[in-house]
Amino acid sequence: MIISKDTLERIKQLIELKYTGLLLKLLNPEVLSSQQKKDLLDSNVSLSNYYDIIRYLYTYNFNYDIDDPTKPNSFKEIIVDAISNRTPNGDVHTSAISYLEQSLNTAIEKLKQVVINNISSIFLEANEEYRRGILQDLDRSETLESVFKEKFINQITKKLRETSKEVNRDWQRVVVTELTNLIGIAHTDKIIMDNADTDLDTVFVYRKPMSDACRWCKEFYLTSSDTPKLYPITELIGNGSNYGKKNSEWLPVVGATHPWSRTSPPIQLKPGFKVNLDGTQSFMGLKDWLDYVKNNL
Amino acid sequence: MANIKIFLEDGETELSALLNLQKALAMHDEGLVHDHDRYSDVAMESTKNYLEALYEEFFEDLLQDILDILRN
Repeated sequence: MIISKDTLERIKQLIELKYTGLLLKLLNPEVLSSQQKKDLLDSNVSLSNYYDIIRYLYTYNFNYDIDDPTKPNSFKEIIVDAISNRTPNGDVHTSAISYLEQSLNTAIEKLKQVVINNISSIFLEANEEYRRGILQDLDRSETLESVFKEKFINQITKKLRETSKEVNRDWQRVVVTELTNLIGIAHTDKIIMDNADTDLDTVFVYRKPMSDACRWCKEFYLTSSDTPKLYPITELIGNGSNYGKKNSEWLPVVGATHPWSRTSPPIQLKPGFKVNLDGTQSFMGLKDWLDYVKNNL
Repeated sequence: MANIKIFLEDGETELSALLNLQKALAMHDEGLVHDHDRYSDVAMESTKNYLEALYEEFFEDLLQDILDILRN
């Protein structure tokens, strides 16, 4: 048994189709190309069964403050809540949702390519091993051939299973990074909308890194005394995204600071309030507030 | 630049200690140090868990389909 070019091609097509199906499960069908839609329809996959997950998650994160006690407590509750007509309208939201969908789409496409490459390498290696087997035993009987085939399939199965551990981990990285990005963008949009009549250069925000934060998160989001560092929201927005940049080029941003980041979204510091070590705020009055802000930028 | 002292365990070599140190620094630099953290927002943690389970099931199905093609 050898894995032919045709078999490899069938498997590649299967992977393409399955990943397109995954995209459809998570995103609005509008992100799919006409060819992808056609492939799904040809395989009897309905285009109307999709979650539109980015829209729902954006809606949830836009509608609720991080400490709102009335907010949903699970993924299912997020979906139920977001379906009940609470998606915000307007270009700001449409463009944010579209950007986040594209970002997840790109990440899934990259994952798919990695899977295709890994599987192609496993098959190439298996074919090489098969060839060596033939050379060692040119007159193999049919019985021996079927034993050999089973052994061959078992070896491939084992290697594919080993791949799945790595692939699942890649997916976990994608999920955490994309969710952190979405949370940050949705909360930033909320802060902007809440301050529509204010000069945004005077709207100050901070982010709360995890307790065991990496050096980047500490450097970007904590002062030397470990209290959250303040930024005009315009500065974080202006820094754009760290996607695709070397870590020496990373900057403090509103979305995911780096892969695996779970830093809190930007939180607005209310005028007259100061931020405590644990990220909560306490009232200090307006008299010295601007000096306080300047000293914690 | 700060100095660090490395104390070797029994059987540990300078090279293995150096490689472990490089690995730890790389893990920290790439943000991998956060991979066991949880979102403070329980609904987003639940979303993350849902998406992880969805993909695990998806990939298992994909492997089964690939193996079916190979067996036939």
